[in-house]
Amino acid sequence: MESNEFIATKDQLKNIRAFVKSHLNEKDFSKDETENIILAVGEASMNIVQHAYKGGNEDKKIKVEIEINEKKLFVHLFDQGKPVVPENIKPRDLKNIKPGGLGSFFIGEIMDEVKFMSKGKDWINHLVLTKNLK
Amino acid sequence: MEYKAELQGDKIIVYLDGEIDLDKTDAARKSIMDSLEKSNKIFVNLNAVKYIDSSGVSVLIEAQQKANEMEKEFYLQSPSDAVMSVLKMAKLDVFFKISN
Repeated sequence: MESNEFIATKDQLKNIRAFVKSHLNEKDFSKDETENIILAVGEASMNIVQHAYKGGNEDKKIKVEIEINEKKLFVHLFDQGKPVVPENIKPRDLKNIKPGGLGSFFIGEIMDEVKFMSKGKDWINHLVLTKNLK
Repeated sequence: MEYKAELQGDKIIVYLDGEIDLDKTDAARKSIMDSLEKSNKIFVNLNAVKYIDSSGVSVLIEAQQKANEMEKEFYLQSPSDAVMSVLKMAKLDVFFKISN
């Protein structure tokens, strides 16, 4: 398992994406799949900055853990921001074209499973994004 | 930061590049909206965009809607594969006018 912590500000989002990219093996995922996974993690990280940390907080962190076994990739995202209410996260209807609301849609479209885990000791929110290896 | 905007005849081309994420969207929005005030025909060149997420796509949607209100022409020019992939996923490849 690979793990890193990032300051919870929008200028760090590119570093989160670079961290994930560096741990995706070309034997496990095609170039398109890799780009899509990076997009999904990018969207989830952006949601943490925007919503859990209300635009960003340089005193707070986002922890990203990557775990790969022979069948699945797991990307864990942890934060200490405002608790998420999973029932309130609804992707928008694609036919209703407007700015905003696409992030949750992309995450759900790309990943095979999206799950919020129970609150832990050190972190408020723990999101797990899962992608099956072919 | 500002993205390059070039006047070519009767149109302005705004060149976005690199990774368009939440950190870059304010600058992208400003560059495009400023150009919409100055010309009736705007192209946003996306050939050098390596990554765009929902925040970047939102800026493009806002700009298209603003152009519609102002009755101005708005095109996405030469979108990279990364951009087209995201637009297709959101079924927005038919919403925008795309020019090569």
